[in-house]
Formats: sequence, structure tokens, C-alpha cells
Amino acid sequence: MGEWMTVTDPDLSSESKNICQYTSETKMSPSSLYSQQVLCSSIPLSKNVHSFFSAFCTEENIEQSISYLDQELTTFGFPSLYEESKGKDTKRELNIVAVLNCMNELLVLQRKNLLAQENVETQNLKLGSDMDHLQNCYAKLKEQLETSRREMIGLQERDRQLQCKNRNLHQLLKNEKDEVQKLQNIIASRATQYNHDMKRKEREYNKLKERLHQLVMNKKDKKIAMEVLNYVGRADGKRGSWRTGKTEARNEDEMYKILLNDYEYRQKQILMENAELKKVLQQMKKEMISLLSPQKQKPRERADDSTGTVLSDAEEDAGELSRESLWDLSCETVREQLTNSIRKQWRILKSHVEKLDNQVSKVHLEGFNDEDVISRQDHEQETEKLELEIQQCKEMIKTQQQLLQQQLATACDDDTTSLLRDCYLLEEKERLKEEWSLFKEQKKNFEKERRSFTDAAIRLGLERKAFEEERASWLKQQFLNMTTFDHQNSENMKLFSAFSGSSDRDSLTVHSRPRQKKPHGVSNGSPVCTSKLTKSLPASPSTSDFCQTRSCASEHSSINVLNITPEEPKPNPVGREGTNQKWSMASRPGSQEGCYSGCSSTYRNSHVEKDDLP
Amino acid sequence: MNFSEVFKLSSLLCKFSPDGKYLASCVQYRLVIRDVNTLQILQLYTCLDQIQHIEWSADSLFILCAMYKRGLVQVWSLEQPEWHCRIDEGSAGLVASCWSPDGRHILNTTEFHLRITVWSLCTKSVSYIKYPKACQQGIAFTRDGRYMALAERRDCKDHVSIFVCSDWQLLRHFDTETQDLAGIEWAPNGCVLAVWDTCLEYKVLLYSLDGRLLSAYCAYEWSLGVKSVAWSPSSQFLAVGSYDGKVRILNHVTWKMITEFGHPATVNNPKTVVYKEAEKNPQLALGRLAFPAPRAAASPASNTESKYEIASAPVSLQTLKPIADRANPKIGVGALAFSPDNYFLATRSDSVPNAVWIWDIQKLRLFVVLEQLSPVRSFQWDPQQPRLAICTGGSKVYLWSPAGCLSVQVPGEGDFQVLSLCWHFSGDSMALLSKDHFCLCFLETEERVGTAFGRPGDHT
Repeated sequence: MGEWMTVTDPDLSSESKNICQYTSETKMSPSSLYSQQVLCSSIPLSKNVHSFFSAFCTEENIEQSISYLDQELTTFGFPSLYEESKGKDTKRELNIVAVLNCMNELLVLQRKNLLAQENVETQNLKLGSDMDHLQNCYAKLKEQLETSRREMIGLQERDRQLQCKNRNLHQLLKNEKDEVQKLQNIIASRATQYNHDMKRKEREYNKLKERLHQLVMNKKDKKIAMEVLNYVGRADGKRGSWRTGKTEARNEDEMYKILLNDYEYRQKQILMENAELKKVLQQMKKEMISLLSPQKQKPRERADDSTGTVLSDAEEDAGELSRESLWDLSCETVREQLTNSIRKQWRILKSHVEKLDNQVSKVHLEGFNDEDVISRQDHEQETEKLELEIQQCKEMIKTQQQLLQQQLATACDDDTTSLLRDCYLLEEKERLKEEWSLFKEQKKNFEKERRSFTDAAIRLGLERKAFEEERASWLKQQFLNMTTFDHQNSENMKLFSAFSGSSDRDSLTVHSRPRQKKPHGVSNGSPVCTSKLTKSLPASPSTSDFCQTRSCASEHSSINVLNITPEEPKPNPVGREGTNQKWSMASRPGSQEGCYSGCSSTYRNSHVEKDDLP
Repeated sequence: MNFSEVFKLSSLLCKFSPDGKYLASCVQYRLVIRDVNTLQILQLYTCLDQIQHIEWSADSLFILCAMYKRGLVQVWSLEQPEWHCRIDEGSAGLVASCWSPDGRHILNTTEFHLRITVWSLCTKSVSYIKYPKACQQGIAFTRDGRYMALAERRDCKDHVSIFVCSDWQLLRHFDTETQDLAGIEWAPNGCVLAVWDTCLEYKVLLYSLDGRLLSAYCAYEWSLGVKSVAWSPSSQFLAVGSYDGKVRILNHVTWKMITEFGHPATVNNPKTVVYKEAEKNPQLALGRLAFPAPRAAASPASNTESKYEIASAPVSLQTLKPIADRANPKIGVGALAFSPDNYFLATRSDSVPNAVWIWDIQKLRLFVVLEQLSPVRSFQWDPQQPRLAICTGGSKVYLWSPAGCLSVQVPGEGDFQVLSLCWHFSGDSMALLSKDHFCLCFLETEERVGTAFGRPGDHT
């Protein structure tokens, strides 16, 4: 479009130029300049105009200008500026009125022109914009046109290609078809050839067979033979018969007989089947009639004419048929009648059943409505009653549950145990039994051991008793011996000895404590100690041995007693008995060096212990 | 269920006599006749060579032993042990030998199917029948023994000849519309002859006794066709098993198909009972997991006991993918048999080799599927009641009846691999055959078993 525009523009300008030239040429006047200028400069400036006008008329050329103007004006149809001349030679005078009129008119004209020009300009603008719009539109359309044209070309191209392809495919198809045809022909020819070959081969084979047959069979092969001890009789006991025309005929007869028998048998079967089916049909018909007859009155009452007539027809038919069925007929007319009547009745039955269905559905609906209406009235009472009942029932259930639970609680233990017991498999039971027996045995053993232990303990106790007795006797002796050395304590000792047989350990311990707490005091003065001890002696006669040792310690040496003291704070692991024994043992050597031989070992032991426990 | 002791046997030749009194078995070239009840040896015949085929005559008086390699047939009489008969086919050779239904004629097929020689035991007469066709099932006798149908091939066309057995007279001769006839079979009533084409084409033709074409049936084209055919004992149905894995049942009135039984690999119908054989694992107690484990693992199928479990509705059976580029692909229905009371049909699809399908013929639907642990070798109906015996080549025999099914281990030391079985006609016992042994299996009567066991063993 742009190109097009550029092409047209110069033309326009040249045209306008031409016009200009033309006017300037024709006029040949100063105004031509002006006009030219006016034309060239689209919007003449007032200044320019003014200057132009000022340049137009000068002092010198007033006359000429006036005449010129006059001329111009007259040519434009204005009245002449001059007054009408009376003579030719006389100088015409300027008619001012005319000039003013002319000027006014010119001004008016000018204004008009300006207006017109404005209008024209606006129109021009409008047109220009219209033109632009149209040009845009045109451009767009052109573009569209172009694109569509291109599309069309593309489509055409594709169409062409497709057509080409199609043609190719057609060609291919044709080729394939030809190929198939060819192959089929080949196959057919092959098949025929194969068949032909086969036939030929078979013929050859047959020929060979024939030849072989001749060779093998006609050589009077001695080997082909049957050795039989003796010929056996026929299974049926008859003799073989000669082959004659008669036998042939007989065979034919037999064959046909067999066939006939077969057909007869089959016919009989079919007849039987037919009869059975007929029976079934008859029965069905009868049942249908009986089914339909009781309620045929109702439909009649309800003025269902069509069914009524049909029913009556059916009845008639049925009557006829039942009469006719007395003969066991199988001719076509009867069959037709039968099937027709059955069909009719079937139709009636169907419609009837449908009707019944409808009625049933209706009745259902109605019934529901009725029930609703009735129940509304008694509804509340009924519900109350029911609720009460429910409440009662619930309570019952609760109490029952409680009872049950109680029962279960008591019973469940037994149950579970029995269940558990049942759970054990036989194997486990056996194993348990075994374990049980083992356990029993062990128990027995334990008991034996315990018995032996108790025996041992008893024996030990006895021994101890014996030992203590011995000791007591020994102590007695000792004491008696001591009394020989010390006469002061003789009385006390005697008292002691009287109690020495019975030994109360508890009392011993009780009394040993105070004694143990005062070891230092003992070292200082044994008489004090002994006196104290003697006081308590009557309460604890069992400590005779101790007291005795004390006394001997005090007598012989205080060192012995000092040696003993460190033992006291030590907690004795062996027990009270042990301590007592040690005490007694330890004290003994101190008290009596002479009996060293009897208790030396114990003494040493105790001594070692002492060393270990600083 | 009780078992007799194990007797020797060769090439699976063991047959009950038609009257059910005797049992013939072969050991190499010896023929042993035993009493069925006591299993005592009644007769012992020695043939000239290893016996390859034996057959009882219909009246149980004679038994023929064929030695194909030698082209010899020897016939023995039970009544007269000293009686003997030897038929030598000489250089013509021998490929098949059978009794005629009257038990007085022997039909020998020579090599290359050159001819069939009919030898008579009553007279010196010898008849020849030419052009017998070499096919699956080329000779068929009617149940009543009156007629024989023979497939022939003449001039590159299939023919069927119908002979009267009493005097070997040709009764009818007609050509059949078959490409390459594969087999013929009389209906039990002896009035209809079913003829089927080779497996390349599905075609079943039905001829009347008088040679009329009653009907021709073709289920589909361009695919492998008929594989097996069986008449129902009532002659009412003809079951045709084909390579597409379906059995089609034709009726005897219109000779149209009533229904077809597919053998899909999954059984979806919950009404169908699926019995799956499962190994009975010896219960492994904690202390008992010890030495015998590796040995048991080595031979799991043969020695471990098995039982049947009922599988629930959607059961997928083990299928065999056929080798496509080999002849005789293992697809299609290879075996079918009607129960003696016509109520059931047992089938085996070769692509599902472990399963036996039992169809309810009254309701025309699948009734039971038995899935074994190993491929089914053969199955046979009890001649007296709907009871099916199955063997899989293992040491077990399986029995099915509408009441249920069970698997029974054949006792005895070593493996007794049941390769084949045959029922006694009373249905009380059956013979189980392994590669070189056989034993009898007694099903009900206890006293008989007692006598069988009480006797000292007589191994041959």
C-alpha cells in the first residue's frame, strides 16, 4: 500500500502545479503572483497578505491600482468603481460609495469564504481520517487476503500431494491385487499341479502295488498258507452257504429290515415324545382354564367387555378341543387350533397377571394410606405402652446380665482352668508328667538328705552335749585343782561348779558384754573385776567357765587378758556360739598351760584369727 | 480297593476275554491265560516269536497272537489246548490282524495295504479284499457283528465298502466326498456310518447303512479339522473333537450341531467343580526333618501320595504351548469317551494335557474338571456305571464318579508306572499295565480279592 501511495502523490502535486502554471499564464497579472502564492502556501499569513497589499499600491500607481481593481472587480461582476463616465476621454472618477460597497461585499465574501474554507478543512480532515481508516482497513483486508491466499495455496498443495499419494496407493493396491491374483493363480496352479502329481504318484503307487500284488500273490507263494489242526465249526452251528443271487437278495432284505426297524424305533420314540408333549400341553391348557375361570366373573362384573368376550371364546375353544382331543389327533388343523387357543389363553393370562400386578400395587398404596390414618389416633397410646414395655424389658435384661456376670465370675475360674488344662496337648501333658515324676524323685532325695542332715545335726547335738559334759567334768576337775592353789575363791568356785552343767547362752552373752566393756579396768585390778563378776554369778551360772578364766587370768598374768581384748569389737561371723567357744578356748591356755595338749589346735586357730583381725 | 500281586508283561499286551472269565497277557513269546477270579494260570501257549498283538475272539474261545515282524498269526483255542492254527502271510507281510465278529474269520492286512486276506477257521476258503485304504481307522464292524465297513482307495478316490460278515458279500459300495478319508465308525445301533476327512479339512459325513448320504457337517474351513470322533452308546449323539480345541455334539435327528464344548484354559463358571490333584506332603514335625528329604525331592511325583483338592471358581489350568512348525501339533481334543449310561462325556484337550474334562450331557454343560499333576495318559469308563479311571504314567490310578474322586497309590515295591488300563466288563476290577508288569485292581467285591491274595504267587 505504501508503494501505491508514493506512486500517487507525485501525480497529484504535478497536477496542482500544472493548474498553477496554467492560471499564471492566462492571467499575466500581478495577482497571479498572489494567487500563486495563495495556492502554494496553503494557509496565507495575514502579515504576508498585508505586506503584499502594501506592496501592491503605492503613491505612484494609485491610478493604475484603482483601474486594475476596477477591472478585476468588474470581471468578478461587481459594479465599477468609477462613476459612469460621460465622455471617453475624461478621466473617470472614483466612486467611493461603490468602492465601499465593493469592499463590504468583498469582506462579506471573504468571511463566507473563510467559513467555507473552515468547513472544507474540517471535512478534509474528516475525509483524511476516513481515508486513513479505510486505508488501514484496506491494509488489513489485504493482509487477510494475502494470508488466506497463502493458506489456499498451502491447502491446494496438500490436496495435490494427497491426491498424488492416493494415486500412488491406488497404484500400489492395484499392484498388490495383481500380486495376489498372481499368487492365487500360482497357488491354484500349484494346487492343481500338486493334485495332479499326487494323482500321478498315487497311480504309480497303485500300479506298483498291483505289480507287487501280482509278484507276491501270483507266485504261488508256498509260505502264504494256513496250518490248522482241524477246522472248527461255525459259531452258529450252521454250514456256510454258497454265494448266490438269493443270498444277495436276502442280505439286501436284511439290511432294509434293520434300517426299517431302526426307523420304526425312532418313529415310536418320537411319537411317544409327541404324546407326552401333547399331554403336557393339554394339562397346561386345562390348568389355565381352571385358573382363568373363577375370576372371569369378576372382570365381567367390572364391565371389562373385551376380555370377557375373549374368555368366552377361549372357553368355547377349550370345549371343542377337549372334545376333539378325545381322538389322539395330530392333523394340522387340530394342532393349529390347539396352539391358537393356547396362545390366546396365554395372552389373557398375561394381561390378567399384569392387571393383578397393577391392582396389587394400588392396593399396597391404598393400604398404606389407610394404616396411616388409623394409627394416628392410637399412636401415642401405643407408643407409650411400648416404651413402658421396653423399659421393663431393659431392666429385666440388666438384672439378668448382672446375675449372669456374677455367675460367670464364679464359674469362669473353673472354666478357664479347665480350658487351660484342655489346651495342653498330650505331648505337653506327658512332658509335664515326666517332669513331675522327676520332681518327686528330687523331692524324695531332698527329704532323704534333710533326714540325714537332721540325723547329723542330732548327732552333732549329742556329741556337743557329750563334749560339754566332758568339758564340764574337766572344768570341775580344773576347779578342784585350782582350789588347791587358791582358797579364797573356793566357795565361789564351788557355787560355779554346781551350775556348770547347765549352760544358758543368752544369759552368757548378756553377762559377757559388761565384762567386755571393761577390759582396761580388768587389767588394773583383777580383784575388783572378780568381785563384780561374782555378784552377778548367781544370775548366770552358765558363765562359770568364763568367770573361771577371768579368775585364772587375774591370777596368772594380766597380759593374757590384754591379748584377748582386741577381739571384742570384732563382729563375729561365726555366730555367738563360735565366740563363746573361742572365748573359752582362748581363755583356757591362758588359764591353764598344762592342758595345752588337748586344745592346742583350736587355740591356734583362734589365735590366727586374732592376727587377721587387727 | 485292593490290588493283586504284580505279574510280568511285555508290550502292554493284556486283555480280558469278552465273557469276562479269562485274562490273557503276553510275556515275550509266551501267552498266559489266567482265570480272572483266582488269577491262576489256566493255559500257557508259546508262540514262534515275540508277540506284538493279541485279540480275543468274540465268543472267548480263541485268541490270536500276531507277530508282525514275521508275518505270522497264531491262533489258540481255550477249549482244546492242543488245537493250533498258524497263518503265514509270507512275503506279503503283515501289518494288522483282527477277528471278524463271528470269531471264525481272521482279517489280515498285508504290508503296503495291498489287500486284506480273510482266513476262515471253518473252511479252507480264503477271501481277498483289494484296495484297503491305509488310514487311522479303516475297518469298522457294527456292534451286532453283521456288517463291516471298509475304507478303500481306488482311482485316487475314497470309497467305502460295506460287507455282510456272514458270507463276506459286498453289500454296498459308494464313494465318499472326502479329500483323504481318515476314519470310519459305525453308530452303536449299526445304521449310521460316520466318515471323517483328514485333519487338513473339517468334514464329517454320515452315511446310512444303505449307502445314502444322510448329512455332511463342516464346522469351519481353512484350518486343521477333526481329531477324534465318538458315538454315544445310545447312538443319539456324535461327538467330534477338533483341532480348534472344541467338541461339537451332533444330534441323530437332524445331524446338526446341538452344542459345542470349548476347552478354555481357565474355568470361570462357579458351578463347575474343579478337582486339583495335590501332593500330600508328609507332615514335617520339628524333629523329623532329616535324611529322607533329598531322596523325596529327587522323585516327588512317583512316590508321594496325592489327594484331590477342590479349587474355587476361576481356575487356570496348566497349558502347553504347541510347537507351530512341527507336524501333529499338541492341540485340539485328542480323546473323548461317553460314559456307558450316556450321561457324561470325558474329553482331553491336548493343549491342556493334565486335565480331564467331564461334561454333563443332560444339561449340556461342563460338569467337572480334573487336573492331574502329570499329563493324562489314558482314561476309560467303567462299562457298568459312570465311573472314570484315569492314569497318568505315574504310580497312581485315579477314579472319578459323580460322588467324587480319589487317587490311589498302586502298592508294591519299586515304581509301578501305570501306562494303560482296561476295565473288566463287570466293572469290578481293572487291569493296570506298566511297561513290563501288570496287576489287577479290585474295586468292590471283597471275597474275590481274598481269594486272589490267598493264592501262592505264580510269576511267569
